[in-house]
Amino acid sequence: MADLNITVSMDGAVGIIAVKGSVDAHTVGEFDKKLKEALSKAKNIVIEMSGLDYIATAGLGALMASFNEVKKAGGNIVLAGMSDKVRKVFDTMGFSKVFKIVGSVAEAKSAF
Amino acid sequence: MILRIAGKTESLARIREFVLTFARELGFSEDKLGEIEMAVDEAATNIIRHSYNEDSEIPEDRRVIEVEVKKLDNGIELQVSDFGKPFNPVGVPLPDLERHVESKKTHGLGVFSMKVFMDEMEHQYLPGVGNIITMRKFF
Repeated sequence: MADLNITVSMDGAVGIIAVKGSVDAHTVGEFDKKLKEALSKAKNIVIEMSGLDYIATAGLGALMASFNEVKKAGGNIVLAGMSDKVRKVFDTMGFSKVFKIVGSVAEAKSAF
Repeated sequence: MILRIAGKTESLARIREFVLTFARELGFSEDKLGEIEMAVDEAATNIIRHSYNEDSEIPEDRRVIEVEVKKLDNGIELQVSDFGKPFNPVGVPLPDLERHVESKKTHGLGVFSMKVFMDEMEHQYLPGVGNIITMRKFF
């Protein structure tokens, strides 16, 4: 059964959030909490999404709220390693135009 | 097959699993399974967030969601039923996605995903009972 496991770490000055499982209206609170935790530590964030099975629009909302905060502070959020399935959601909802989406964390770090 | 489950966000993973298992057995591609998963999840989320969580007068034993899955010759039919006030997602206009994203808002995307990911969607309100959303997806 889908649940959510998120780890936050630092790689130099970049905050790395690794997301595993599903972000839906039930788990979005945890997702939001971890985003804010990372934001309090770094202005540039990579979200590693290769373990993300599912994201609902509630999750996209939390992501967008954090993105707005980060942008105000002059930083950025880069999304790395998302599956084709998750990519389709981002493309369909128009979010691919807002976020920088790359294949790997290494690629994301060089994007700042 | 019908799943009757508490109208709480805790139920969402079970609802997705229930529908996905049935749809997978029908032979849908992984691509389309992802679309079906999102549509049913967003339909249930709307009920929980915008009906049950906002209407304290609904008795506890009626705060349930029923999800019925049916095999069609050319696909799947999902019916998502609640016992809340009338709400017709079919009547919700599609957002102008370009402007929506520029404004950095995400409200209304749930219904949008239901419409865009499913091939057909209908709404029925049974007075004194609740809403039935019927969605179909073809192979």
